[in-house]
Amino acid sequence: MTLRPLRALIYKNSIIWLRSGFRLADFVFFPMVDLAVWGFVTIYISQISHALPSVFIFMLSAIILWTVQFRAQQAICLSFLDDIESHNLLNIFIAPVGVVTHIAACYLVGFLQALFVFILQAVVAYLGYSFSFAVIGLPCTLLFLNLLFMGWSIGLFSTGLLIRFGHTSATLIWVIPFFLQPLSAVFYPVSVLPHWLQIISLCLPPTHVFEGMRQILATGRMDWYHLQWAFLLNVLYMLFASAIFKYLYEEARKHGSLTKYGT
Amino acid sequence: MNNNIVEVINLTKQFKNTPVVNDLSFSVSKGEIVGLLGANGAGKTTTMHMMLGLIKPTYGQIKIFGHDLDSQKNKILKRMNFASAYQSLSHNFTVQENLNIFADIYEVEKSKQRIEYLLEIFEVSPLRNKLTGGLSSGEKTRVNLCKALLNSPELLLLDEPTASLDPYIADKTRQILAQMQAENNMTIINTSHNMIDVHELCHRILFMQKGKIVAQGSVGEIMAKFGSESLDEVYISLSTNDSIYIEEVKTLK
Ligand SMILES: Nc1ncnc2c1ncn2[C@@H]1O[C@H](COP(=O)(O)OP(=O)(O)O)[C@@H](O)[C@H]1O
Ligand SMILES: [Mg+2]
Repeated sequence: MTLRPLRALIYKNSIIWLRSGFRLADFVFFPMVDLAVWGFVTIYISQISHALPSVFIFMLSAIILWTVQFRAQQAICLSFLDDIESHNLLNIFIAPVGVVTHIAACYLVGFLQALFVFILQAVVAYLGYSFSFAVIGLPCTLLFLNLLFMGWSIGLFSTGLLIRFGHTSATLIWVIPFFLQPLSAVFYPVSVLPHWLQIISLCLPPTHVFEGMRQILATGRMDWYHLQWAFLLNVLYMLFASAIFKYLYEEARKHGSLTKYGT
Repeated sequence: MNNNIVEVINLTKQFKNTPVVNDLSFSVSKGEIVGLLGANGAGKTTTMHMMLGLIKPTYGQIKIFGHDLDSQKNKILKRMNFASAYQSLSHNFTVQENLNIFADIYEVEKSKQRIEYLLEIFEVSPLRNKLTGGLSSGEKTRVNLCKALLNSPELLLLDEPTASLDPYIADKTRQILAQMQAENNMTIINTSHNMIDVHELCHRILFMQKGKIVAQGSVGEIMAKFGSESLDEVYISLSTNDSIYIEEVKTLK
């Protein structure tokens, strides 16, 4: 096999983001709105209370890093959603390309989109709030990668649902991240959650990423066990997501969902 | 090895325990154009989708080019293609972009010329820079046919290919398909409710009812068997008369 089919799928899955004003807004404009809202809210809170200046940095870093996971997942889901909406799904699934190639193309586009938005947000945060991500330093790459992995896993899981249950399950693409965000200790430490929620929270890879992020922002150094936990859990989540996807794909072939929802 | 491009053996599909395709067996040899006919809901599309690996059979086996579809899917799919009146290429790409993408996916050689040629013969060259989502259904159908012929398939499956075409283009499409069959010995399986398609194109007909083949043969043979003046009459008598169905299944066994 050559790389030609993979290249074509990467091209296809990237371009669908540029072809509609709504998608472009979703991808470029809303992350900026997020950044602005959270930035101003924290400035205001710092003014009326005596919150530490670090709260501001925590918030901005959190929103920028959370977007990595969100964009990676969204990019994966839209690839298939676009084919469902276009009635192109059957053409894609009867093409002589293995499912693994499809997923590889989605993952790569997820990575590119997450990276693009990450850089864009970092630049805007620097220009707008004089906040520089450089304070995190090299571990930032590892935080980024772990969030990317989690975005891939959720993306694969939601795509499985999309293929099995069709367009009706599309809302889950947006619901799952919003359900996970409060549990992932993005904007506050795990310790503020009630005990039983802490247990759930610690089972999620992003929790460890954001705990590590706050530690490094507060102290300038990070204990490696945060990253170790994030990575270990991510491996488990990826295996789990792959197994679920495979199951849902086989179920879809059994129940004729590909052809029912794809036409 | 025999000359069979397609062998369908005891193929059965049940959705929630209701059989939709019921112990179906048939074969198609190289260069044949076969019409898969039958009333709405007879199981034609489901059969085709199983031959493309989109639906998993409940029982039975499909062999294409002598290989088992289940275990050698991508190898087989590379040499075949499919177009349906109910499909479209991605709405957010132009016709040209869509065809480029599929030419790359199928790794078509000299793809530029091939696309040019297909756009030309289906008279859709002027649409090449239009977004596919904005095309009329007949235009989409023609673009689908271009896509289905990109890889010069040895086996082409068509699900109601002329359903939304005007008589002129439908005629042209039949000519193109007949020509390709003659030049490349392409094998075609075609479901169509258009009796002109069947008369002009099909060497052989498989008549399906309730997931089984109830009659097969050339157009003449089928009409003689049912004592009908036209295929339409056969259609109507099969669709309204269950006893014919039962009798025919018995005699086929
Ligand atoms: N995914 C599915 N789930 C349940 N029933 C289905 C599904 N797909 C097709 N059917 C049923 O199977 C029967 C045959 O459908 P189909 O193969 O599309 O018929 P045809 O193409 O001959 O008109 C129909 O009754 C249809 O409702
Ligand atoms: Mg049909």
